[in-house]
Amino acid sequence: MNMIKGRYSGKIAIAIGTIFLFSLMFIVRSPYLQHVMIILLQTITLAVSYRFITLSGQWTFAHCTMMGVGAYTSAILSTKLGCPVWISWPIGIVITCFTACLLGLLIVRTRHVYFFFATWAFAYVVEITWKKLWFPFGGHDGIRNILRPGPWFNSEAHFYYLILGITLISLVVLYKLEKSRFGRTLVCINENEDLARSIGFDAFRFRMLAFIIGSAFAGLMGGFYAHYAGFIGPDDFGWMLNWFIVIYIVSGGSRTILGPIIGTLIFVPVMQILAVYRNYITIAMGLYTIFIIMVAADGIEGLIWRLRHPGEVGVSRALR
Amino acid sequence: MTVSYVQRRFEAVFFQVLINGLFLSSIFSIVALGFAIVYGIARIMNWAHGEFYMLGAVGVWLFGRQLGLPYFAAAIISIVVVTLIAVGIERAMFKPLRGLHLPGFVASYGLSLVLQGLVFMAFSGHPRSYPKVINETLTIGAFSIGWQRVVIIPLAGLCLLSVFWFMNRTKYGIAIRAGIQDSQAARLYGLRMNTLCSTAMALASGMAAFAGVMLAPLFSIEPGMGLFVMWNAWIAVCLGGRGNLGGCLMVSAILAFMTSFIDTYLGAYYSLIAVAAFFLVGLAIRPRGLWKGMEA
Amino acid sequence: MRCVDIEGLSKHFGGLAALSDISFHLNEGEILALIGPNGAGKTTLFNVVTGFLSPNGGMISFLGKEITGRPPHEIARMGIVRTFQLNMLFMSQSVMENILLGFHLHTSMPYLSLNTQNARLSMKQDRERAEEIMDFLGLSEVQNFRAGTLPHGQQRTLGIAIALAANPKVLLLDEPATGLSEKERSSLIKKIRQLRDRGISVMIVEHNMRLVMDISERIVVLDFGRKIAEGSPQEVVRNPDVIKAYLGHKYGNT
Repeated sequence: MNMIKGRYSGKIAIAIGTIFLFSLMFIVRSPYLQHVMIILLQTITLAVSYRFITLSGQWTFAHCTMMGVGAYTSAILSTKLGCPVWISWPIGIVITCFTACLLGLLIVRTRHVYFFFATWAFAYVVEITWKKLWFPFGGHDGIRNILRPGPWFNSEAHFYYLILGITLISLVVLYKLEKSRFGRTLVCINENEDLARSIGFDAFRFRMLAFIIGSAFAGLMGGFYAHYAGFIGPDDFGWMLNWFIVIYIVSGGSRTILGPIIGTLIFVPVMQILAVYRNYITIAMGLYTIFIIMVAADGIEGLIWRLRHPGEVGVSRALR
Repeated sequence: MTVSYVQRRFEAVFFQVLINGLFLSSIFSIVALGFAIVYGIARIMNWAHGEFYMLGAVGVWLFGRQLGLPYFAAAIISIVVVTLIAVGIERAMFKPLRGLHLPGFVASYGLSLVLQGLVFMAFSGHPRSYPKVINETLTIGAFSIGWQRVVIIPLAGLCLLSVFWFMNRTKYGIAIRAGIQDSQAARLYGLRMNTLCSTAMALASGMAAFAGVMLAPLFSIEPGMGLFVMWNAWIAVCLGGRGNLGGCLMVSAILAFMTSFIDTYLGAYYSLIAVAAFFLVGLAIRPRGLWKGMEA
Repeated sequence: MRCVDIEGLSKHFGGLAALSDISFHLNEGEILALIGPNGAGKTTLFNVVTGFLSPNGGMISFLGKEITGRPPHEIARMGIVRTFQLNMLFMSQSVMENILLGFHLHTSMPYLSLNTQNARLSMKQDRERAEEIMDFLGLSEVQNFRAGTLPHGQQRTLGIAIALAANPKVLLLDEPATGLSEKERSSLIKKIRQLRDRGISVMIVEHNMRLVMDISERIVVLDFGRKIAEGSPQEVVRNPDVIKAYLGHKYGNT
């Protein structure tokens, strides 16, 4: 937020922005566009929480899978056990944290690509499990007729307010976490782990916490999606989506909290428009990935930073 | 149920698991070894390595079935073409990304999407097939298997022996091993990393294409066929450690026999789960590889 | 009173024995120098004592408690802090931030502060203590510079400052004088003595013999992973085994 000068002008801008976002529902009337906005906000939270995990140097491939864990848990509890949504949703988040904890215990000690691939392996195995087990996951068809959070939620606009509120709170929480002593320590541990350990930091515990916290937000979004869309299937949280999140962050940049937001704002509308050309999306995304890595591996944000600070050495996390 | 019936059943299953295990070991190790060599010298984990395998099979189909060449000619041409493409990609794309783990990996995943997408479009979504070259079957007691499968085992063995000879007896091979151990020291001795990386890529892609070519008559030829071998190659390299080629081969063999055994008794899904569990637990115990690999 | 006790310590890498049956101790309030030719195992010893490597045999105890095989962060919390041979700093952070990180063990500031009165108060206390350390080591002028931009000598000093911030009872300095000028070295000697006067026991690995002779009260000599001598500086310098190790057999038998 350092592009906004002055102590109060930043806060005023945020306040105006928030009011604008809340009143957007009166301007945008078509349910389809409202749906796009909801997906946009949901993806922003996913992307920003993904970036939080990367602060500790861990790039996961299972973020959307964690979202699926939260979604399936909440869906199963509410449809098969009749649990009210306001209970099943938080339980979904708890189960997601638990899953992240188990996975983390196994793999948090690994680095770089090994970690990435280990999470990929996990995502793959979870996905085929969802597809294979008819009970309780519903196999390829998934789960249908998932309850809405309440009778008031009978239109896109109402869901929009819910996700807007959740996203804004999530952004504030993640931002504060990053700036807190915990967040700064995380960044330092990533920068020089041996030094951090020699002065008493338990790197493993910090990394685990970062992974669990980030995944918790994914589970939160999963619960939302389940009760918004009304039906979920294994393809909703598949490996391609895991990949897309990575691309959004790589494209937007991971230097500050704005990077993933930029990446998402560019891509989600693009994906919606190109949804018809499904066959070409794979090739296009592949070519685009190669392009962005060769040209600006630290994203648009990194590019802007480099233009404004010529000659300065600041190795981005993405370039390790 | 007579004793001899039980005995025959046991024989059949035993040979099934054994030969299948050897068969899978053969394919897995060829693909994994190439992958490990490229990772060792260029420090790039090339996700698209499985696509070289796939393109080898596609090439045989293209030159053999579409253009009518006999199998062996189609095979050789396919391997050469894939190798040339791979070296071209290495020069264009991987060279600037050497040593950067994450960007190299991400870009190679993009490359894999592009290659798979192109083949998917070329095939209009239908998998292709190639007819068997050898049609006889081998029979041991109650167990029978097509020779087409069995012959891959000695062929793969020959391939591995020649790679072994290359790495230990030829100038380039020894240079590559030096580069894997310490790239800076290798440079100081006058070895050119560019040449070494391209040679390594040529070798690796050639091996992958060779595997693809051998398997074209056996498996269905489709864009996603690389996943099956890459899954294993990844695990072999992660658990084997960077630069530890022997470790990589050993893990490949372990995974092959595990897969074969569990496939026979429980099914494909459970073998995938078992392999994943083996991998994750192995990582938990030794995050840097089960043997002493080199610092990544 | 013994502070750190090392008994029978061994460490080997495959066939290579980096440390064989090393035994010695560090007394409280003492400055002990660990010397030996290159490859003798001095840094390996530091790595094992601070938990970065686990030994294959032997025992290390600190103030009576056994610390063999514990992870580095636990040992640091107990009070043994080390510096590194190469400049290990948080290069992208400022000098002040680097030192503040060392305080985390002993600060009252919580991890998730909401900018409350308490948080701001402990932040202020931390900054004051950081300034004290920077004053002591002469880093006050550069406190807002990024660590990566400092000249080598100041980076070395910053490494010691970070270690000091972690409030050690025992400080293990790994070649602190490398690359320092004559003036910087004599200043370093003075600082180490002052630290000893404040109650910190110091074990120092150094190659610079003048510094070693000047500052140490006792010396332990390693060669090829074995301890070959121990004693006061005067005793060690005259020890024929030590001379042999450094200069070769020709000189050792005079």
